[in-house]
Amino acid sequence: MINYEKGIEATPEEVAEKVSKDYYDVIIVGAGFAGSILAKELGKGAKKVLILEAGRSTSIRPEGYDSYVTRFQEALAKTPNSPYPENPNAPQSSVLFQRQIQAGQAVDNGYQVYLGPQPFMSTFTRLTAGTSLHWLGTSMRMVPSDFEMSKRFGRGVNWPISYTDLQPYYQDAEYEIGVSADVEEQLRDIQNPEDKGNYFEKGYEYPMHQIPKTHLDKWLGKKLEGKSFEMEGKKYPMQVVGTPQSRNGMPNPKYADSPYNKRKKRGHYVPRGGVHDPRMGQRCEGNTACVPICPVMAKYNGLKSLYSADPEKVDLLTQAVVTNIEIDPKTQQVSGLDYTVYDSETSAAPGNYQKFVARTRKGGAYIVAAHAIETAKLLLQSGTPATGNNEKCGGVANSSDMVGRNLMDHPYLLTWGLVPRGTRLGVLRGPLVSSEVPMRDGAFRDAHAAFRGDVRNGGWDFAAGAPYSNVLGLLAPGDGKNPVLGSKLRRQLYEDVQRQLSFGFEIEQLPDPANRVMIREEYRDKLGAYRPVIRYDMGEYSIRGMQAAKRLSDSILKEVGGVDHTVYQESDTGYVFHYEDGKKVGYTFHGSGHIVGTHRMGTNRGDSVVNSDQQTWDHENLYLVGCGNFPTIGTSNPSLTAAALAFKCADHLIKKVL
Amino acid sequence: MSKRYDSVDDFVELSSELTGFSVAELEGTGLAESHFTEVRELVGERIFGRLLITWDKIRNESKSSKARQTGIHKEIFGSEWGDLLGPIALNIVRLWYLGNWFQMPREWRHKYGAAANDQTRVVSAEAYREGLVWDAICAYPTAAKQPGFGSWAFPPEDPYEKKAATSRTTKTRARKKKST
Repeated sequence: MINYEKGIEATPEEVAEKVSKDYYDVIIVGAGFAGSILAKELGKGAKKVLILEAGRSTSIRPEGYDSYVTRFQEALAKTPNSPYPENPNAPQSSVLFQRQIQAGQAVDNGYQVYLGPQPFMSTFTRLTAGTSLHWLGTSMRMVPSDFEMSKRFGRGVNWPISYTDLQPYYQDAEYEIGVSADVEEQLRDIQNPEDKGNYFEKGYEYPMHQIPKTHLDKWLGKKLEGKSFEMEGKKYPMQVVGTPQSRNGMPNPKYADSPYNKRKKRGHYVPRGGVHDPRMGQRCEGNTACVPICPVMAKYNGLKSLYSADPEKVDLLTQAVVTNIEIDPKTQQVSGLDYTVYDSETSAAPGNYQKFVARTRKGGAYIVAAHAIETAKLLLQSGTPATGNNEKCGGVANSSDMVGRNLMDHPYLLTWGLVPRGTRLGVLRGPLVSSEVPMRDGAFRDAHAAFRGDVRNGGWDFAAGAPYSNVLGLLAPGDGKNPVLGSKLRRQLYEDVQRQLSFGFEIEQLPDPANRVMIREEYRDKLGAYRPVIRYDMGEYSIRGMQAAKRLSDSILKEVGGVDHTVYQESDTGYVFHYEDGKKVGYTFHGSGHIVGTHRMGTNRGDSVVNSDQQTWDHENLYLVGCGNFPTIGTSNPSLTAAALAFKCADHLIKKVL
Repeated sequence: MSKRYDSVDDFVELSSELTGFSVAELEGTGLAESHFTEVRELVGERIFGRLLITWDKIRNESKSSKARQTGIHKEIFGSEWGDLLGPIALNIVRLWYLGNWFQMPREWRHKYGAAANDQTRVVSAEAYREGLVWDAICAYPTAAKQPGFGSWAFPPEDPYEKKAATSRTTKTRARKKKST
């Protein structure tokens, strides 16, 4: 229960007592993005819910959340997980452990084990509110063609549901996580007129107006007006489109009268500020720290859903690591979840760990919503673990041998250049990304990946470590002598940083069963649970997408009179190459944190893990919710779609099951 | 005033010349004393004293800022003391600009001795937040000093161009006059 007066959380003893009385209708594994929303919605539907969260609850107290902000400020390497301390009982991944992989040599010094050929570059957070603490906040819907990749482009697979099926749940998700965007701008890159006409319900508006575009966005938008870019013989406009964002902006008065809002009988939209102080974070204040932590909570995180869940109906138990899903051999239904509660993080004393089993009442449901990698790992390690001889048939919900497979991310391709001297782009102010140059949809998708180019508001921050690298560079010029000092240094920094233009392209990736999360006997964490072992590679479809994205970046730089400074080196972690006109050309990708596809949904139990209700084919009362359900990734950041799927699942459970 | 406080003043004056920020701006960060202590402890009192004596000499011998800059390049980076004092001066700039201490160069550590906490690190959250780099580029430290909703929609400040801009306008006006 998230309730200060009654105690913020449930204790293991209270939970055990309630379990013994067949109290819970639903047990959810994971208090992250999907789990928080599911708990809130099921609680609203009068269902009694228990969430088991492996990580700590630090963030649910104001001083705990603030300690993360300070920790970030004090961190030398300001990585996505830098605010969130390591926890040996619920370890998480870190970008600091990513290395190039030499043939046959697994990179295993962090939590995740990388088998190669490429390291998996994205990370997640194991804490209450999960990775919603460090997500960027980008919340665009997928486009209709993303759901029919096989049908329309002969690539990948189709979803068992269409865009239209998900559309009402997108509306729910946009309300719950508070999206600021412009309906008209979101239609600009949808190519098929029919798709365009059905993208939004007639009269729909986003809850909040689009976040004001940055000076840079507006400058670039003007420069690119009327310009086009050719792919596979067809021209597409080069346009700067506002990115939908789950950060608080100005409420849109028209939202109140949209048909959706009227059906819900809600009035005007009121932005939801920080959970600890609702007066804080009513608007995005421009901390430029969306990743890894918004200090004022103007950006949505799962705490907002947890805090607004019904405290009478929803129990949250943290530091509770689920280690096994028990299956009744007769009914093939889940009979309980084995979990271990740890008290201290450092103590090895036996009393530090207590083991429990959580069970729902008869006819209840179990939902694993632990993020694509942890969910797959939990399924693989349950029952007879899927290691050694059992690799193909072991684990739970794995009769298709698809659990852990089809792992995808958006490989993130950075490009960077300098615009003409004297230009002031105004970088490093405002949200990290507020606009994009989209190439998300079109006939070219039969030939190469679609992509979106984030107009990066941080200059060369990601690309080259600006503005730190600028300071260090001016102090130690090539000859090692004659550092630039004093007022010259101050002014030169301004001139240099103001000219930094950088794009980050999210490149589509196709499902490939060989890209997968596995478990191996030799890789365990402190609790004895398995660590994720990841095999990952980049296909030609995506590399050709990178080629097109780099070409787009070059075209844009040309239009603005800039000079490209992008360098991809063979020694880079994430370097991939292919041949262009017989010549070897390489690109360096990073992770987007968009971990997708490890327990995909489908129409056929032979090649998917869940059906369109997100129910596992193998176990009637076991549901999986989150990005792992995506059959394909498209070009949208996946959180909004995961949230929509959570709403869909809650709806299904309330109406048809419980 | 005790000698120690004089030394903080000397340190801030030297820092001002090195960073291009005025003494008032540096004092305004609230970090003058802690940065002073940090550097003194990391490089040792004697070596730190040598740096401040050298600065005192430069200050006394130079009448203009330009002369002081020349003096710094000559006396701190270019003299027989260059390999001792140069790396410290650079680290002082890095400390003010970024809030980070960078481990002294390998040769320096071997020659002059290394303090246990001579490690590359963020010296404190305050030092990070008050890093001068953000002011220099007219931006804001990530996760602190947020400028407010929508402020990013406006062009950035341009504190360095004011004079030049005026003169350009005057020139444009002059040209216009000529053409009419």
